[in-house]
Amino acid sequence: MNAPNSSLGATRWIGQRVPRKEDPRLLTGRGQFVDDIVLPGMLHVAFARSPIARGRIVSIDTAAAREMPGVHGVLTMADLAARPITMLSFFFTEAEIPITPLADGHVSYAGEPVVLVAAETRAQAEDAASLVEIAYEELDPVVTIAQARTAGPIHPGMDSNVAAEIGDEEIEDELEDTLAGSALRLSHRIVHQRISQSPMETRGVLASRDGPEELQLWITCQSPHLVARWVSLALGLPDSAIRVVAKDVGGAFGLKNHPWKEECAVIVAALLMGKPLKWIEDRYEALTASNQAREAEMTLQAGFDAEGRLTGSHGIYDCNNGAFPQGADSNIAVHMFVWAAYKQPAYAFVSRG
Amino acid sequence: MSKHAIDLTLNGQRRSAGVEARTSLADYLRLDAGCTGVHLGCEHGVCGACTVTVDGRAVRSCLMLAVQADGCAVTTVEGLAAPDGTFHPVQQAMREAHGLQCGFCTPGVLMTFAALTGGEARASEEELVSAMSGHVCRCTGYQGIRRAARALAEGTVGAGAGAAE
Amino acid sequence: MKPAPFDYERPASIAEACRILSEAGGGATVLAGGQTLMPLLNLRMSQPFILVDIGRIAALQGVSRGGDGTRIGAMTRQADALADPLLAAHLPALVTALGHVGHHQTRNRGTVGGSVALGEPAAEMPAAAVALGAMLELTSVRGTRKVPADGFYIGPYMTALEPDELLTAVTYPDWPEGHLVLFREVARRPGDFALVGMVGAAVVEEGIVTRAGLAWFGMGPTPIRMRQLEAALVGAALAGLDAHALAALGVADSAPFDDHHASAEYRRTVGRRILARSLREAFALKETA
Repeated sequence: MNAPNSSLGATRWIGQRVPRKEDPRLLTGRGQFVDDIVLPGMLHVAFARSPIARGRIVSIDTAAAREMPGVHGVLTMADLAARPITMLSFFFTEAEIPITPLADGHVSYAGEPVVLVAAETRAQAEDAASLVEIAYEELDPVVTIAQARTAGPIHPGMDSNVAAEIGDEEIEDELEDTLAGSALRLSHRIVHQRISQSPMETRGVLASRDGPEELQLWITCQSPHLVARWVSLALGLPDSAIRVVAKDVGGAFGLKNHPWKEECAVIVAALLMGKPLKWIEDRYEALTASNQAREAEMTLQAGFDAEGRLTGSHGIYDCNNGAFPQGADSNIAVHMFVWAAYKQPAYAFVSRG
Repeated sequence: MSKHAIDLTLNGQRRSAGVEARTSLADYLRLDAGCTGVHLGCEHGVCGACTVTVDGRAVRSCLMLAVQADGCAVTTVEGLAAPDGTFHPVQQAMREAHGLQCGFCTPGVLMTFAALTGGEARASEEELVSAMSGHVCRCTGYQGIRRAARALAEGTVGAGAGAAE
Repeated sequence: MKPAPFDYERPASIAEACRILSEAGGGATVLAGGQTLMPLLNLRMSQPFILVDIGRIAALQGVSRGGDGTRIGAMTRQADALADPLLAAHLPALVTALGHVGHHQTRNRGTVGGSVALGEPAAEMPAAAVALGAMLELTSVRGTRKVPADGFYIGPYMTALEPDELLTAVTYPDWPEGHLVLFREVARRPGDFALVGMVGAAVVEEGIVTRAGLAWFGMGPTPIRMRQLEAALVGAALAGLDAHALAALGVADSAPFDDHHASAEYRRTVGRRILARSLREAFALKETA
């Protein structure tokens, strides 16, 4: 670096090409991603997952899996229940519907983890997971936004399939008068497809119980502090009992904000088994069972005066959150983009997720 | 499941090992030989992060069994830099051109470029860019990697195309 | 994504490989370059008892010339075939197609024979074998038989290869020097399987088409030879050729399907366009040459 030493503060860097300090290790293969960490006695996790999108679990038979070489544990939700965990939203609020690390009695999406297998190698864990027999009573899945509008609630005890709603679909009189009085009134519907974030490094966690209630996590994430706080609240442990390490992270794209079902299952299983457990999501799992994003429909009405200036607009936004929204979210951010990006006297909306 | 004794040269050093038939070269390199710079992004030959050279050629180590590498010379990203730590030209080129961000795909990209520009190989910029179709990078948008490819093809690595150090 | 357990055998000769295949009674799978098989193993979509690695059998390597054309040993790597001077001289259409098979890194392992034997309907190598009139050499403990590529493919990944047979070589007949090469494919990204593709060769003598071999890939359950188009071309004068009408004739022999990559209608539309363009370019080149 040729940066002058005499100057202090940010001005030292402005206009300079700054070599990244992490490059030397990443260019020589000395990065430390989660899967690069090995602990003594560490076991590898694979999941038996639901092949169907919606159904009731009739029975789970793990006998054959338990007999496989290298297998140390085959756990269902009934086993994990011995160490309660409260899965939280990004805002650390409790979910409106109970969310469990492994499926509890029913499955709500294809790829939902049902049984956790811990074995000496990942291949052995997969061998055993493939022998878990789960019988389902299949139910009609509710997949699209249109289906969700008309189908009965998929989560027992809820009024509808709308997890969150802000605003009003009906246009208020004042805005309606503005739009009706505009020289030009347009309505347009935009559909945005579902996306899979697909970071190069898939999700992964290595959880180690140190002492009776202390937890060390190596996890690929977007903020180790957020994960530490989330896990401490979820498990009811003090902050000081949890250490999170995330040295190098191979991309996240919002997917790795906080742990989700598989990571929580591994954490709870590690606490119960007392052995370090590593789960590295493979690409097949990532494209099937990772949370996804987008899939939204928006109908926007806009009025313009004779010079083409916006007089006002109204948006109806629906977002498909999938089976388990990470908190009841209607993605209000979308409307913030609409009203912040254009100068318009009036805007109203409804936002549903 | 059959087990097999293999001998190979890894990053210039002879190694012997016993491997299960189903162990991929990638898993052998990562778990047995400690070459964790070999990254597994997809395990079905699409992403290119696990690329290593076998007898000088860039190949997917997830699409090769460890037992198939018996008798071969394998080089991973750990074997690129000189023993004194001096970067290989492909490492230098990627650093200067800001050709990496998270660094997960980078070892694979480096091995493809190294195979195509090392020794007698003198790939053109077009050939290097074409070979990049075998790698997925989610961070950079590829422009830094393209600049690195150009610098390698034109022999301008270290000539001030990127950051001075 | 780790394979289910299997035993691994690495025979040193064709005879030994055939013996293992015969004794396995259908439980063995041949590993050539592995660039399609290994993903299937990793995904546990393929779970053989025995994997027979033919990678070290010297007799399966290399390109040679003989009375019936150019012979490519089944284990010849795609990258080696791509750089082979004999193939460049005698089979430019095959070389062009090879450049579109997978990526640089997969061509370093993938083989000509592996791709031909697998029968992926959207792959270049099976279609090129069909279009160029290749003859496949299938060997087992029962002997060696020769099967034309046109007729070898039954359905997606289904071929006339018996479980105890090994594809040992592919022999492409000679096409005269200066013959025309036709190749085009449309894929989402370089190296992806084609949504639609076509490959072939044609011979023009004194303004008359005297020989033509053309096939689709990604246009049905197998590579599909364009019989009607070939029949219309052979004997026709260049001056009278209507590329648009000929392309429609080519599409008439296709059987595309809808999948999540593209609709059958898309494939027919794009297929007709790329075929018309290839015909125009190939025959116009000859005219102006």
